[in-house]
Amino acid sequence: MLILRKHFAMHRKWFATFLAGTAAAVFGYFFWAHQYSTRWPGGSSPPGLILGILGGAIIVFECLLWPRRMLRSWRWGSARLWMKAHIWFGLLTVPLILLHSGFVWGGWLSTILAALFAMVIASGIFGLVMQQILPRKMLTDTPLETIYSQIENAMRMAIADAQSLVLATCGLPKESAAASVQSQPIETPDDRNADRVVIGASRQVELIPGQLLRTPVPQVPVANSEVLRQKFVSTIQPFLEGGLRLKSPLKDRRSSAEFFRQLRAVLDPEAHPVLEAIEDCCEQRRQFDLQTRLHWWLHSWLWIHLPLSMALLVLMFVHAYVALKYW
Amino acid sequence: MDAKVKPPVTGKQRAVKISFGYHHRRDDLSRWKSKLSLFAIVFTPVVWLCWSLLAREQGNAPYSHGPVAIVHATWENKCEACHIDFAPIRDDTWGASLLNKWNPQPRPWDKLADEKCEKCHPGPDHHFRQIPGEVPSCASCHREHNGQLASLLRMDDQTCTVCHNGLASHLKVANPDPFKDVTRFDLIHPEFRSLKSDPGTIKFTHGRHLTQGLKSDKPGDKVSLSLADLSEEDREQYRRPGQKDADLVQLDCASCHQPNSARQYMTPVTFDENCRACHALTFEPGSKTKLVPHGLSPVAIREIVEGHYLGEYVKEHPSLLQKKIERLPVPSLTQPASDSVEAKEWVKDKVSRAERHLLTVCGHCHQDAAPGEPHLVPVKKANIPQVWLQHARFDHNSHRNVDPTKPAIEQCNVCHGKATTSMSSQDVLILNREKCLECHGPLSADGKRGGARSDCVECHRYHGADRSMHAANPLIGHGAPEAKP
Repeated sequence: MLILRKHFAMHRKWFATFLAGTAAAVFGYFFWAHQYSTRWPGGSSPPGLILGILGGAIIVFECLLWPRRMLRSWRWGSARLWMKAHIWFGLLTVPLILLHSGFVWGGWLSTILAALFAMVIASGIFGLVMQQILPRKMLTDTPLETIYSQIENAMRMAIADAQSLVLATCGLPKESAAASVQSQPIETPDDRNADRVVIGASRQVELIPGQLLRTPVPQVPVANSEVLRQKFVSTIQPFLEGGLRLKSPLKDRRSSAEFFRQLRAVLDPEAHPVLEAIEDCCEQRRQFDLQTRLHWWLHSWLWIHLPLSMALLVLMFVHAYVALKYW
Repeated sequence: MDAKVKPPVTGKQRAVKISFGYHHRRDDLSRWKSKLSLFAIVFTPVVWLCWSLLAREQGNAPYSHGPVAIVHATWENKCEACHIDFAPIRDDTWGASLLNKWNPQPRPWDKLADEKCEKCHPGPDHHFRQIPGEVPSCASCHREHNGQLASLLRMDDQTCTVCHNGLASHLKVANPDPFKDVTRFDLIHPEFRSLKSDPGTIKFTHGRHLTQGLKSDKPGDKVSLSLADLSEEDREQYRRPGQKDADLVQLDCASCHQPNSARQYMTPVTFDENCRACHALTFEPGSKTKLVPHGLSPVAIREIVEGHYLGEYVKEHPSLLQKKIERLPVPSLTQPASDSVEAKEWVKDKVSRAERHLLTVCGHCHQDAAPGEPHLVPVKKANIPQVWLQHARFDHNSHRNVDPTKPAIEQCNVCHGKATTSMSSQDVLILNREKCLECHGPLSADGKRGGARSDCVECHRYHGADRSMHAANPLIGHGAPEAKP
């Protein structure tokens, strides 16, 4: 969730609530300490206990975000409202728990709790920072982005399209290469658009067939285009399948442009639209790889944040029981 | 090739590459997120329980919020040794006041655990005038779980000043001689009351006893004590390195004041140890052997002197031992034999002279032993305070090298002021609070003053163990009888 710049306006009340809550907690704590105590009040003192209960209640509330996401259909408030509350109440727990601790680590249990709490907060803040940076970057750097889970699916379809284009341009391969190309599914141009090849899936929605983008292809194989097939099999197709994991001149946008420029120079101009479509596929592969990487940074912190939050929740109840038993 | 110059790919174009129902299949990131979270929910309590079981010989150590002080280390892992389940142990917990209100006990909730402390640390209250409800529980002041080396006695000043800065409102009975308010030793703190005057009854001048030969400053005084004037067994005690028998006696502080075994306080000065060598209690002028012991009543002294002279008379008149004792006429008494009368008169005269002589001898030190009296009279107790700062602790050992630039004898003078020149027994030779503040207070800007601790507990003990020399029980708990005047 974006909270910076122009988006801060919708967080203003939440931010004010956070500041007011922090100020009230700090004032109440230090006032009580000054008036009634000779040392920093701990968790069992009146302010410490109140702040502990408040902090604990907020932590329970924060953890409810998980079931709320699991049970979207129950519609307990909007997701945006939940996320705002999650962020700002979560930040509010920092002063509350810090004051509740009385600025001491305590024993094993409370130290582990404090460490868990610190890691949960740190990972949450990391996630929040990532949320401020990465979506913008994705918007500018990956205009071809798709749903994360569908990246490989979309790429498989792009590879199939590219193979169709190569087949239409270069004709049937010689014996040695034919086996590999023929084993792939090849979409045959239909009768109405014999000079076009569909790039993308052709799907039927009710009675209307959807055929969206078509790339002009030669009616007959282009002369001297065998080099395209060779390059496709040796360099382009492995890159489209493996992406940035492989060593390839196509990994980098500049060297990729040079690669296709050289290819274009040796090919008949009739094959250039096909070459351009294949170049687009390579660009798509690069952007999908970048999207995968950004997506990982955007979401992988949850691997830490969520499990530690659960551990924190469990140990918090142990702490509450033990603290009341031996307070 | 630059993707940005190409017409943007529309959402519809992208959508055709997305399979229907894609949202039913979660990606790896999402799946692992849920798996790890569920694992944490199950794994955390399991790990905690396993750890508790494996470390069961450590008792409740995992729940302890810090090691207890080393004096309580035996009960490190036995919470129940001090705690009562679900009963607050300190009175600054909210639970204590709520429980006291809602579920009153014969003893307040926060004092229930005090009974466990008092098994080892019994004692009366801090002060008989204090309001009982204001007395904190043991654990309120003695904060445990702060580490093995943490002091249980190092309280913040506010622990004391919460009452002592405005003590009148914290007494159940008004104090006719009210204490002054205290905020901080270097700010508002009364002068030491026990140093107002010397309650002792002994005539003693430090100045004279520290001069060479113990000469007084009186013009006609010809006393000049040399080692030869002392008995042979006493000479070595007072001989300084290189001195001969003809040399004058030169005392220093250590001649009479020796630290006790703890080197904290000085052992009391006694006649037999410190005075007898020079002030022998002879009952006949010029004699060095006719002595009476110190500390006896006049009757006992008279019996000793009388017995001595009776024996002496018999020695001088051995015929008396051959003389028949006439039977006393009954029932009326007749005059005794002339020899008997003579002997009685002789002895009586001798005893009377001895008493008059002893009055002079005793009068050297005892104010109420006036030489003009005909008979020995009982003298008052010396009443020299063994500990002068009666409501505070003092450790000579910590102050033994208070000014390293000065020789040993002058080290004492740093705090004991005019000890070497005092010519009045009424002088109190301990400097007051102002002298302490030279070291015990906040460090001054020039670094020449202050720097040593000056918090309340540096000198005072809440439970009346200030007079630690006399504290019969060092583990004393709720106050001590000394706090009750």
